[in-house]
Amino acid sequence: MLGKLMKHEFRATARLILPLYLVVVALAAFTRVTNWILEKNDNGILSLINGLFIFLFVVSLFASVIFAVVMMITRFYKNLMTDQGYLMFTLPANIHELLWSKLFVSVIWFIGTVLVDLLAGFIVTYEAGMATDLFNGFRDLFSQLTSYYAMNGTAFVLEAILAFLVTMLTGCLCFYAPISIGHSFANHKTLLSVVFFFAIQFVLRILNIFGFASLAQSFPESGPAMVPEQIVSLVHSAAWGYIGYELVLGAILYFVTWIMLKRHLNLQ
Amino acid sequence: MPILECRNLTKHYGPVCALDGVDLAIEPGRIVGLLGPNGSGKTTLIKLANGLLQPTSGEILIGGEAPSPRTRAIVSYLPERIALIDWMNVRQQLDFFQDFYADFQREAAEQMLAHLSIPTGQTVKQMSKGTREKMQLILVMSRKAKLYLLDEPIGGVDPATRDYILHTIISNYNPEAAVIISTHLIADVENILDDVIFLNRGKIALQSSADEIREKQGKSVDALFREVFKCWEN
Repeated sequence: MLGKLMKHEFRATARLILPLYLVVVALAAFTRVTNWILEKNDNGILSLINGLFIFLFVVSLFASVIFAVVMMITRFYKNLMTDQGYLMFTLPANIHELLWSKLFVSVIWFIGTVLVDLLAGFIVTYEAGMATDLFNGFRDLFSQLTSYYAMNGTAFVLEAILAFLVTMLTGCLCFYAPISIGHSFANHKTLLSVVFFFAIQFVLRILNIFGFASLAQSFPESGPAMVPEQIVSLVHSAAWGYIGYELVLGAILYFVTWIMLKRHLNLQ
Repeated sequence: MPILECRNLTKHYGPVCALDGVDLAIEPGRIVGLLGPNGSGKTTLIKLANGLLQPTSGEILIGGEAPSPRTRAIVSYLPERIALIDWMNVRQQLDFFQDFYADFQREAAEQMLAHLSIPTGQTVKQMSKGTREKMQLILVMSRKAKLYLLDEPIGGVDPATRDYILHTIISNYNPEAAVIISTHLIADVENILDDVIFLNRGKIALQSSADEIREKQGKSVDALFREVFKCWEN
């Protein structure tokens, strides 16, 4: 059932976000072409057009990220909390499947947006041999990290990817939980969703402050004199600490969302 | 075994009691009118049967089971509101139902849609309110379900559409299934009902077969309804 839900979730979202991806890539291509022409033949009007394309291109990069976030929120709200909820919650699927289909598809679009923006950036800045240089640069960075800092580059990349994925999932749930709480009330559902969003964010900020304060206290006093191995070990610990924190937070927000949809659903 | 059973079913919304200790059992093969004025608890009962609400106490069972994805696979539900996905066209709606419901009969749905001359490329957004109502009903009645829960299927539509809706219900439902029609427009549905349940302020005021009411009380269901739910004394 999860597969079917995801299929329909992709259908509903792809029709909105894929055209935006096309616009980003097209603007990158136009910017690249005008850059190239400008290098050969400088003139005022062309500079103006090139400036306009650069501006639109930068706007499109930000717009694609904002759009992916807004789409994640509105899909959850519209598909589950409005009249469509009567259809979705009476499908032969459980709440977990409904939630995970939305989470997975949102995260996939976040990754897609990052990749499309990177591709667009690559198109604009591309020069002959750039790909090889980039590859070599990363390889050198890895080998230096491994030889000088005794750092496991692969582990570091895996930690970064895992941290990114967990942050994306928890980020979605930071919106899902307050929306599901706000919509369990009879009136002022949207207003209450916003209030609960800020209330949750406020509690999280307070917890973060206390968390950082206690971390700073536990930081070794010999900090500046640490050997590279100690720094590397600290980086790994910090990465796993962050992943653990996001996982716990995500699990709490997931449970809140699930229990609100399961026990306190209140469709109009 | 009853296809729908309520045992001392109670539902409160805060201090408001929407259902108060309801006991009832509905057998397969019956068309049942769930009748009562606005706010009598009809929609609450149907939402509970779909698992859209949770009981405060007591239980509601579909084929002996509490509402779950398994029971939703055998229940065909027509909500009071239009729950179709507005950006989808007719073909995509059919795909959606076919994907999720093993008992969905696509051909039957396509025939009914063709009969109404609804183009398959038309989106829900482009449809009139009446067409959306019909479209939703066609999707619901094209399932070979064991229980049909129809919440106010004829509310807010013109008399011609009302006739179409009632005709669609009686000519398409699975005869081995139970059909529960919630409405306060008694006169329109009276002729197709086998049984009636009067709900009043969350309690069952009367449960009887439609024929029994006519024979024993010498009144139509509509006349009895008006008597039971009379709002003022002369």
